[in-house]
Amino acid sequence: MKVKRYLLRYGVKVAAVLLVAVLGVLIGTGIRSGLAGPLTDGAGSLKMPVQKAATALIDWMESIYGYVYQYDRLVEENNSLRAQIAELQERARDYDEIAAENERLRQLQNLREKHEDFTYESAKIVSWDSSNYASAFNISKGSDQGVELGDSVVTEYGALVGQITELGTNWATVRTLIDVNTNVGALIGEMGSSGMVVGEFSLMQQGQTRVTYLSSGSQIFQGDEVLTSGAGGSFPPGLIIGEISAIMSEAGGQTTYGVIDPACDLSTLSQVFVIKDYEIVE
Amino acid sequence: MIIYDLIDLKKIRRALLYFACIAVLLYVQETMLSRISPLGVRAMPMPALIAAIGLFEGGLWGGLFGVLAGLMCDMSSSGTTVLFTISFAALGFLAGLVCEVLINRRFYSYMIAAAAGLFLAAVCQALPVWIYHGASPLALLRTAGLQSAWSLPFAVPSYFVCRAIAGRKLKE
Repeated sequence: MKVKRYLLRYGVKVAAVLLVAVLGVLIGTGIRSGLAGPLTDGAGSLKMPVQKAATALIDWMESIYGYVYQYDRLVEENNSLRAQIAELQERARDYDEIAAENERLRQLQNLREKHEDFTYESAKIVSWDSSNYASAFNISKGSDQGVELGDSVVTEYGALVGQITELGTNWATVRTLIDVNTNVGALIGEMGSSGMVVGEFSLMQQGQTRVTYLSSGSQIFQGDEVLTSGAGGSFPPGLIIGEISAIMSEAGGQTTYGVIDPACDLSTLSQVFVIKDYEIVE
Repeated sequence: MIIYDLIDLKKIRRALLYFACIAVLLYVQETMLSRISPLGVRAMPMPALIAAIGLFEGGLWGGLFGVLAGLMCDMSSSGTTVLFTISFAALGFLAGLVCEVLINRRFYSYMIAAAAGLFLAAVCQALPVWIYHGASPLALLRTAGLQSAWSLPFAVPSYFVCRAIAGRKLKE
């Protein structure tokens, strides 16, 4: 009975208040079309800083977690990326080298078309002679590849580099055209004056050589192109030796000679072509 | 067993070490130093190593290893047949001789001997160019001087390496 009385006394009041509240919320929500009511808004306003703090705390803890637990993964990823960069750099270097070699071979193709009778053997420069009194280098090809003593060596543009002076089975020594021991028969300028390219020590040190023993009555001018004459059969005719950069007189002043800037840049040379065979025109 | 007793293992060990030094220096000289020429000349520190061997081991060993190093240099160089063999042998022997009568084995004495050796070897290299091609002696001497000067810094390790190899013998 006490329960029944209690329910009737307070229960109806509570139910009435509850009903009013529910109706009020329902009516309020319907009218404000989705916006929170003042109570919800107030509660939300109170809750927001707490939620923000909690979120910040969780984010911080997650970052700590990430640092601790993902460090190894990041290191691994970093190493992997470094390896990829190194690989790409190596590919880029290879590409540059292949592109340069391709260009050289392209030029050689032009040279082949110009001199169809030439048989070439491509060779890499292995080492330069350490002597300061000679200009020579070793190449990676020798008698096994058909190279012979006295063969001419040129660049991909057909510029004379030198001559094979020492021969091994898979190596050879090339004496360059600026060496003091070099003698090459030459034709100079448009007139085709004949002369002899003879190495000279002081000029060799500057990467130059000279043309002397000019035929009588011949004139040479600065800028004249010097080509191999083919005389004597040591070198094929028509190979570019270089260009006359200065006209000088011998010590007595009786004879003149021309200083030649070689057509090939010996300091940047990395690959050369040995002319193994060519037609000798009588 | 008797033959084994006759063999001086310490001497053989030292000889092998000197041979290794010559081989390594020749390799460095031919492959690396031949590409570097800041003064317009290439370094050739082999004569300094021969001088060091002569200095620490005496004229006999200096001469013998001079022959060996000279042969190796002549083989690797174009245009020379016995030039280095003769000049290095003389240099090694002279270094030993000079050490006996004139200078001690200290570093500065070695550097003077090495500088002289380097210049002597450079002049020997220049001689055929002067004789057969009539090159200007001044230009040749200038090149020889520059070659010696540029080779001198590379001569420093030779002193310490040879001193270390000969160290035990010197103490005895």
